[in-house]
Amino acid sequence: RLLAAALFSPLWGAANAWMIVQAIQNARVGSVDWLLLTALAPFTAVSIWAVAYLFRQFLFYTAIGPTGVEVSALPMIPGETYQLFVSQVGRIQLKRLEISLVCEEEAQFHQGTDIRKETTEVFSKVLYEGVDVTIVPEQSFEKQFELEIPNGAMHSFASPSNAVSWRICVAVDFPREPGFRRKFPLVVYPKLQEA
Amino acid sequence: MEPLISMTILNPRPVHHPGELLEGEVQIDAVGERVIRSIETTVLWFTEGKGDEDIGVHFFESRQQEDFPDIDLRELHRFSTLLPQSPLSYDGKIVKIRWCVRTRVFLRDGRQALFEEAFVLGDVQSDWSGNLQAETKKPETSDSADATETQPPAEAASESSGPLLNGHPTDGSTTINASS
Repeated sequence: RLLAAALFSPLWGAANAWMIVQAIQNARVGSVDWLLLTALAPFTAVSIWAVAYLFRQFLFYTAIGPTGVEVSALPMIPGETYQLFVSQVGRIQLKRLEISLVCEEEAQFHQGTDIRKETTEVFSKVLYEGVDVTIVPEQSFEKQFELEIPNGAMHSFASPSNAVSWRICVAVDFPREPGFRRKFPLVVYPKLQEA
Repeated sequence: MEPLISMTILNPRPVHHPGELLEGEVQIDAVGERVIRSIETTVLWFTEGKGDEDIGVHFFESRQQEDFPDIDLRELHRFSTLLPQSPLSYDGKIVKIRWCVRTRVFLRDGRQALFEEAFVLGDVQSDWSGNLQAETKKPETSDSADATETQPPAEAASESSGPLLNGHPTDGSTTINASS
């Protein structure tokens, strides 16, 4: 949205500026282009709105700071428990904040001449869910949890066309803007077994 | 006539564990003594499911007749290998990992014969994801951000992208600090 606004606003503003210049030049030579004058008002209104929208989007995206995820150990082993620390800085009101442990399978395959990728979630455990969370620069959101990789779970795996990935997923919803999901990879090893 | 491949895992069990010794025997019948050009025995894993097939070879042995002119390759031959720590056999939704022992016989006239014996490596529970999804936990809700006095683990490192695991895990604790 920010990128779209950043592209649209100057382009529309440039077109609007050209129209104003033309109208002024016409007025100087005593010529009146009623079509131009009729279109000028709504064009100018849209231009003002575009600038205000761009400014609002810029403030919104700069209000969201980085998300930090720290774990007490890597790699992780199924059946073991670890400490997880999540932080979110910024200057924003969140409608909902959810932190979860997920495991996804990813498969890449050829379909005709295209290469397609499919991802499916095979495990999800919500570790924290908060509503109406206010984050200010003086007090960032910070939470520490216990994190257990399920016993008997599949370890992390990656090959050229297939993968099993473990991640910490931080999902955020805003009151008036679309939210986002940030994913942080974890590495899970199989339990070490001696011969 | 097609060669008859007899392959047996000597210590068969429902689940083989990483680090165990996998032993097997291979014998070829129904072909003449000097008809075989070579025999390859492989212990490998491969993927099944929605994605393109990937293969990983853990053990490979090739016996060429020209290297053993005085030996009848048809005779009973034993092989063995220590099974790796990963990847474990896995039966997922769109990704599956299978292990097998594969013997391929190459004949002098260009024909080939193939025989596979599957086995299960590791004890990944077949229903681990289904059972645990039922236990989805929603521990707490909050009306405001809590300024918790926690001591986050130290050490910054880079993001990991899910490496291909085919060895032993490292010792010691490691901390990552992955920021988007």
